Amino acid sequence: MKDILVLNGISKQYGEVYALKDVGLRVTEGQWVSIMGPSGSGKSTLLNIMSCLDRPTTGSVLLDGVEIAHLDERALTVIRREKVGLVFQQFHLIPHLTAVENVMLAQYYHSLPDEKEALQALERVGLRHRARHLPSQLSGGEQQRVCIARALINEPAIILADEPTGNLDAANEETVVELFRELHRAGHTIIMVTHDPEIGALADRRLFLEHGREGRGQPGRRPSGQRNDREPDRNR
Amino acid sequence: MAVAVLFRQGGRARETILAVAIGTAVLAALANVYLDATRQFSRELRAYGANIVITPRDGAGLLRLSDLDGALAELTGEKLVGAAPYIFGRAMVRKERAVLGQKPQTVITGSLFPELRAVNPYWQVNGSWPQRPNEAMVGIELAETLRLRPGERMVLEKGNRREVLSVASVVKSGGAEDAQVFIALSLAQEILGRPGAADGMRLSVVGQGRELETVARELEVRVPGITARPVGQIARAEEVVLKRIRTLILLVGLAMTVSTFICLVTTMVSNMVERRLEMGLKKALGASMRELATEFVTEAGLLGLAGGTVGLPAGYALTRVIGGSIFGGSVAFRWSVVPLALAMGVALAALAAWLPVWRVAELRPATVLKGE
Repeated sequence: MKDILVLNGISKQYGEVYALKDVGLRVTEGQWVSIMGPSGSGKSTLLNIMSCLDRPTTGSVLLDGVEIAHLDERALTVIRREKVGLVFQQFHLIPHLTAVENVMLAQYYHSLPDEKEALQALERVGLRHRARHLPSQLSGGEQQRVCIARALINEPAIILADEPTGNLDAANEETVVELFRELHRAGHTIIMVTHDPEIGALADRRLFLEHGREGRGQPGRRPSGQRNDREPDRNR
Repeated sequence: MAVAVLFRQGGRARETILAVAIGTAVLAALANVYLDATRQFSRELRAYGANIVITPRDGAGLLRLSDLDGALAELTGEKLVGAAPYIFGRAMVRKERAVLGQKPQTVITGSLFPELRAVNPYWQVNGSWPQRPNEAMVGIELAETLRLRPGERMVLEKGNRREVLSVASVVKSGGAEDAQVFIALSLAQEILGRPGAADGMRLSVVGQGRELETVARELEVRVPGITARPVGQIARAEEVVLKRIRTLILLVGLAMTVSTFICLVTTMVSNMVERRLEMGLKKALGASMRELATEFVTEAGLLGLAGGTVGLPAGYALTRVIGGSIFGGSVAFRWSVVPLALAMGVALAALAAWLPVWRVAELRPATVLKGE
């Protein structure tokens, strides 16, 4: 399988403090990788580096064949809109845009807005009928599904999700988790930061972070029949 | 869709539209007043009295009024406010049935009363303007000396000629007129034995400076044998007053533009701060700095256009109010002001949005989206 993301010796330093130290990861096409760890362990920093929102102090990041570790902000912006789909814990939908307009926003910065395609993306997450609703008229779960539709609309090489179920109740969490399962089955590459061991266990592999370094972590419950590497990836 | 999205933003969009609308309304009204000021103020300033005096060229002869008719016809309409011919003479004046209080050799002035009134709107007249040939208007000093009041009768004697006239009014001008008697032009010509003639003519013409000089020169060319001279002091005073008023309007307009702009910049900065999350998200979705700046400025420009569109009818109403309250009439609403005001609204809003747009460059999406 093709490597979509390869991290080698990634460190991120703020003054004397290391947010990340010598982290490595290899993600192949179609894989679901969970990044887990306690608060302050460097999960979000790592996700920001992978999503081109931040740069490592040292190390290399190969995203879909492009070395991005030392690109300037303008180049990172281009890579981000071409190759990355972002799903946020707080959904981050623009309140004065309808669901379909929020999806079209990602198209607007990528290429050209196409309402038909945006509606298809909403249909894929089961929200075609809520396309003309404003975020304030949608439940938390529905807002997260709009966020996922927005992440999918430009067919990114990789979907990066930061605690996507962190703000949802149990019922909505199940719906969103099921959606990620479907995306995984459809061959999408997913990297998800999560605190939840049960959700983390759904991934093909898990990377545990402790104090910015790869750690052993506490293995979560793994649903039967699913592959789980349990151990952090050492595949650099 | 873009326009609908724009107006769904609510609060800040409405504030921007309101600020531009108020600014546009006032600026449009001021622009109308400014453009119409020359016409309006010139007409108002005609209250100062005559600003061109016509006399016979050699200084000794008489003015043939029939010669002036054609030349004055060219000036009618908006420009000519009044043209009062005058003929001077001296006569004995006394109150009818009064033995004392006789005023020997009083100056009598013959003129056309409607024209006299038009040329001298500032005269304070107690009573009514004379309507009939046997009515007279008496200067206040003379009236006090002779104890003449409106409605009483007076006797005017010149040689063997004796006329009994009714005093229609007493006039106060603050000048030499206060010691004179004003009678109908035809009667004066008859008494003084100079039919069809006048010593001169006072004109009240709308215009200042060079404009008046041109009118005077044209009259001299058209009517041989006359001298037409602008009354320098009045013409210059009018010019100075007009210039000051126009400068004042410009300064008020400038102050209004600056205050509207400051208000818009404040609104835009608040808008930018409130929309940090949106801007951060857009950056995260792949928007470049240039795209975001263009978007923000265009959005402001559209709101400016909306504000201008709302403000123009208000500007029209304000123009009417100013016309009514200051000029006692109407100030013309000029259509040329419409594109000017709209362009102003768009430019002010876009420029106000451009100033805080650099804040977008400072936004770090990862930080903003984490709510830090």
